[in-house]
Amino acid sequence: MDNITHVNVGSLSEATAELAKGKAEVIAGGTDMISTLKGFISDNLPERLVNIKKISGLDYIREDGGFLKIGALTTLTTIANSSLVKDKYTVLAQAALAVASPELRNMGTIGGNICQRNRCIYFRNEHNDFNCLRKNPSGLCYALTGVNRYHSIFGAMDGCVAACPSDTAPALVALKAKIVTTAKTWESAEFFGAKNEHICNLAEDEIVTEIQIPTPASGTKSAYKKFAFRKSFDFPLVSAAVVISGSDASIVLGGVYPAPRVATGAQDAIKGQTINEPNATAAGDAAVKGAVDLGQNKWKFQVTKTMVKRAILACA
Amino acid sequence: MALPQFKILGNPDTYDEKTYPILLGKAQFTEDYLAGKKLWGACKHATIAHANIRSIDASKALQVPGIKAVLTYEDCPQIFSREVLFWGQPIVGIVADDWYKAQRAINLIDVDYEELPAITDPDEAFSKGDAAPLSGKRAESNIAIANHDRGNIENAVAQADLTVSYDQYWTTTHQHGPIEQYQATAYWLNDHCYVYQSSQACHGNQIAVVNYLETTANKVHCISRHAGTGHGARLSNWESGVAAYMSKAVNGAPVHFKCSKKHSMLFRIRQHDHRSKYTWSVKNDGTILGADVEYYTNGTGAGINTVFQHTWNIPNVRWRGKGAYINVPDRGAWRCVSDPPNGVQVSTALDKLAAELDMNPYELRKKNIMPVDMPALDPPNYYFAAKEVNECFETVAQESGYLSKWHKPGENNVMDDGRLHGIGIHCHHDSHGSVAAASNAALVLMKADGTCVISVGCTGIHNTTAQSKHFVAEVMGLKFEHVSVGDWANTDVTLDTGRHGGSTFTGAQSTFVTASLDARAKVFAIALTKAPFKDIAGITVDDLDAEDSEIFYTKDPSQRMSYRTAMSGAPGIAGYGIGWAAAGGGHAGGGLQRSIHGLPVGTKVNTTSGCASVVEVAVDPETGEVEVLGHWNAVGTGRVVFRKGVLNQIGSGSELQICQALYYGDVYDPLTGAVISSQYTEAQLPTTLDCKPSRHTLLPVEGDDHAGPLGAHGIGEPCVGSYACIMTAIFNATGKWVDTDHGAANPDRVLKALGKA
Repeated sequence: MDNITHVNVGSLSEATAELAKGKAEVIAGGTDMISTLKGFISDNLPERLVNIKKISGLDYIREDGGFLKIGALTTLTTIANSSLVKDKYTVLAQAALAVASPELRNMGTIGGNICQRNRCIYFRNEHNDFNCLRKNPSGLCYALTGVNRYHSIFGAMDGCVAACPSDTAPALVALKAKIVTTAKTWESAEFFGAKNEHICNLAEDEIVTEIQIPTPASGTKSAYKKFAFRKSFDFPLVSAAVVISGSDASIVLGGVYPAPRVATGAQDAIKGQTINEPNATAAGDAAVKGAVDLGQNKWKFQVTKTMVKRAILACA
Repeated sequence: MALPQFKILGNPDTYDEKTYPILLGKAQFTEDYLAGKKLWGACKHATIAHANIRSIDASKALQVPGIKAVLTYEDCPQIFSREVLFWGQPIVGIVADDWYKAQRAINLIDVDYEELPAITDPDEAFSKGDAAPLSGKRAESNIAIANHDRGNIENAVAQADLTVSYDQYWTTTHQHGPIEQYQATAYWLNDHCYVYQSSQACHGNQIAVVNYLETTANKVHCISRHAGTGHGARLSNWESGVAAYMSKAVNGAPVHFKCSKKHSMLFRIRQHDHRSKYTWSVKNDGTILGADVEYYTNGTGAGINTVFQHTWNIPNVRWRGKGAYINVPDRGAWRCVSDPPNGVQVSTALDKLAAELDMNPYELRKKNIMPVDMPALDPPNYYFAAKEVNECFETVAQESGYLSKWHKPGENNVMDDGRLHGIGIHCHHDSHGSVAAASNAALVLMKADGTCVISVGCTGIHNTTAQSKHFVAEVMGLKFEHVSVGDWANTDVTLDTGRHGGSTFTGAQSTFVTASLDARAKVFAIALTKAPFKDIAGITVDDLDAEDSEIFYTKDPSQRMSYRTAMSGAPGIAGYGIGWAAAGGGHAGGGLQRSIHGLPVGTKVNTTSGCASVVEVAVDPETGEVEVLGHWNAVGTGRVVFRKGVLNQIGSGSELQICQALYYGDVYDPLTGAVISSQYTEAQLPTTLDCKPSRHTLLPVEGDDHAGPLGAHGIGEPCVGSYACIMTAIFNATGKWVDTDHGAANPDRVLKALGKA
């Protein structure tokens, strides 16, 4: 039961080598990691932290070869304030701006935001008082029989009903981003999951290096709408990321499923339609078709409809 | 006799120097004390709602290098109990050379429980009564009874045009959520124990530690300086006891026991949740003849309360109160008052009645508020209860434009952006704000340079110290900056000016008034021996006065000397005083000191503060979000002492009642009774970014309280009724009542009330 070791690395290969030794995790901004460690929320916590902040060349925003490329160590503040991102990838800038508080955005990176641990009230209980299935293969999902006010309205993913807490995740999926790691290039829609404590499907020694977003067609409009009880810095309870490009629409929900949820019904309802109140309302209604009330979260149906509607209207 | 004009009291430019160390990063909190020279302590908490502990196996933890000691109920039954009464109860203490090591050791300690039947739902406790399993918190029954009768309720029913019943919902719990977690440092020298804890009542802490250690007061030395918020809960002294025992277990070495944020949230006392059923017997014109009240709390506070009792002119009352003591963290009055949830219960019942009678809630209240010259309707029948309530009610109604903005619930109120407008009004006579401090002592020390130091005896986490300074400067005629406050509380050195902190902040600081008069008289006596006064024939102390740190002859003010001159060459002077006796509960023992409403001097009066609020809201029917558009709070202050402090206190009270109404609530796992809102995230405490001071209109209603020599009294913690107003404003906006279900009117609950969830 030693203290945690902090290891500085100067390159990605060094970092992956450290991770491959086991019982190690990457730390960058540390805004999730530090509170996780201090809370002793899991029996699987790392014994070594591999500090990748010293690796140069992972903090950038540029357009290149038909893609917007963002280095994994780029802070959320940088992304939110980038005029390039605000102009052409508005949904991502708005999503980055919606994350937490200014102080946390100054430290938090986009790589960290899409790789964080989930925020379920049972999962996050300190001293692992609820050793749920995300932490323990033989565990169970306490929210199914307990408090599920904030949880998924589209059922479980790998047995878990915790909602994805990332603001940038639905925006990236809506933009059809790719996520480049030290091992492969992921389609963003495949990147997120609920197989372990984190909201992503990375292998233990795999590190995100870059986000690649296809440059949208001219005239593309996008928006991100977030709902949380506290406007100051809560994780999203419901969010909607909308990208409308000509007659095409990409609508992805956050906070309503363990991974970003592509709202295919809403997309079909608004594609090619005039953006107005009735059409946006219809799309919102379609977004919650098939939603499931766990007992305490039916209110999310109404808010999801509203967020989708308002995000679509913001693209007018 | 009119009050004099004041130079210091009420001055808008005075300041609170106790905030400077905090703002400048120079405050000394508990963890700073003996920094780097302490061992560390933590606690393991029970993960079961009700049980007896069969065994505790700490062998694995004790094998870890750096773990120094483990304490259980067998070592210190005064601290840890064998019986677990709620999930989260601390049951084992661990001492280590590092706090995180102690925290990790928690998971190595195995506890074997004999599970006992638990009851975690207060409604279940009420419905089952004696058939419910005993929680273990009370010997014979889970339910404490608190009944009260006034007049004859049956007569009221018989005479009424209408008798109608309304059920109210459970109000929220509320936890202090301080920034500085609960913690204490302790060490021993022989059989003397030294304890440092951020406490609002250092001397009260000493008494508690004496009891924990079963020793004598001369062997316990408590110190306190600054505290990181949490006023009201800074009376907690359990941590001092834990630290003392932990230190004893390691041969007296200094140990710093610190609760984690989760532990600080888990088992600390929280505001009791309230619900009620009000049956009104009323005339068609809105005159209330009787109130038949079933009142329920989750914990203490089920008895008839000041908010109801001293506000409303209701001749017949039957009050049946029941408090449930069940297997959840302890409940009590948050910041020692129940007034906010009391206010919600009565105000929502009044607004339901107003809707039934098709009356404006303002008119219904106006018809039934106690007149200013009416004595209290219950013994001891003191006068004066409703003076400030009436003043504040009219002030807030006028300032807010309530009457021009009010509409029937849910009617004609759609705003341009599609949201629903609502407005609510509330008033009450608060349980706080008394004129008289209890008879605790104060010390005022005049130094050779003519400046003054006062010892307040408590930490500077509230306005007490600043208020004290105002009284001293005013009474002694010193410049404000010539009075400084000793910001240490040390039971070996400072006086016990506030045994539990309450008497030092609610009240006119009468102890410092009398101590100042004593010091002033002593300094004046010295001044008489010096020129120019010594050359004035027949001059006495009574011929002198002071202002701006200068003593002058009242018959010829050109004859004067500075305090510095008077004190020059003199030994330090101590002025000592005790407060004028309180009859208890906000009543001035001496009664009125100035006649009012035809009541003679000496009439026993109730002088706690009155208040009233109006809140204007916009409700988004598509998301359930409630935005406070405007917030008017009128609070009776008597003569304002520390003006900036008054405004800060009313303003902060306004924000925290928004927190109670719209944000905060404990979250319980229904199967285990576990409090799973162990972090501010789940408990939804608003941050400073959620607060908008611009929406508040703060309205101190000044006057002479007629009961103290300076006309001042306290304003409680504070006396603010916005929680009630917000709930009634949401009803006014939507025409629906939100079931807050032990929590706040969060958007999901508002949507549910609207039928959209």
